[in-house]
Amino acid sequence: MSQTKERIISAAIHLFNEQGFVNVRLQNIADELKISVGNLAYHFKNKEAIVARAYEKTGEELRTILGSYRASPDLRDLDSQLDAYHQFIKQYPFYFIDILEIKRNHPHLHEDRKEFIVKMRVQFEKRIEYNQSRGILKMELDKQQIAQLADNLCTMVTFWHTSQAIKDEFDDLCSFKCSVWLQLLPFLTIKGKEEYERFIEPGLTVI
Amino acid sequence: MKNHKIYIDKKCYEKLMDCMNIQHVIDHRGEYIDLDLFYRDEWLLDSAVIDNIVERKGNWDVYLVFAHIYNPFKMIKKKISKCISLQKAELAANMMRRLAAKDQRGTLKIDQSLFHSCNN
Repeated sequence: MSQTKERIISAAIHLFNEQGFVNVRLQNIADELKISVGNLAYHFKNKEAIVARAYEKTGEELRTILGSYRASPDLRDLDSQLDAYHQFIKQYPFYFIDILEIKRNHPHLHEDRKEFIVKMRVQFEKRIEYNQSRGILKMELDKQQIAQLADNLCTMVTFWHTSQAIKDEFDDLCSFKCSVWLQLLPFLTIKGKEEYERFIEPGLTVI
Repeated sequence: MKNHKIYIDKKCYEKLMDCMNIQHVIDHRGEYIDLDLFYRDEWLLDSAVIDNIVERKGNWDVYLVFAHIYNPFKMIKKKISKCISLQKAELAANMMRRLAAKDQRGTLKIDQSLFHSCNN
């Protein structure tokens, strides 16, 4: 992709994050870049094309995050993935904040996003099962409860930024990670708690 | 070249994740017990190889018998191939025996007295 196109996408993403996806027009993007709308239209014929490219970019980032599954065999694997998710949320808040707008206006993009969210959920579920087999999470959790827990974790990642924005609170990594880990803490075994205290807790300065 | 998207459905993705989980459980350092295979079969180094041709259903089956030279009761018999004529089977058996034997000249032999057989 050319440098100008790259700049246009970066400016568009910045405006989507600032003003919301529906409020941004081609004129706003052109103004941000200090170019004419005609020049902008030469590179991307309409807003649809810009949105599609922005989604492609976010898709690439999400693929990298999902690809890091099971990079290490202990709880640090989830912790580092949470870091990556949080960075993504901060970099592209529009991706999760404008969920319904995109579902209404760009159903095909929504399908792509749904696929990512489903994969994220499956990963949480399989991660719980894996840690159960390692003796880190309690075996009492049945299939349905695991699915529910995975759903909760997925919802936390998806709507974290929205909930922080509603409360006008500063969205910091530590509180995000604490909230996610708090979901799992009651289900940790003694071995799991040891691993948590050894690897995860030192990284969470505020609980 | 344009990259085409490949979609994996949920069930397939779940299976993929399961495989990755299993991979992590089995990907650990090997144990000495895993090398038992070599120790278990070490006796084959001191074995005499005897070819054995058996007629079966109009064909000639070629077997190789690997027998320990000091304890001939310890042996294994493996079917190697089958031929349509006795001459071919003999040729194949001879070649296979020479390939399989530790010493190609066939100096490793079984001493019949080791069977402790009684002729009475």
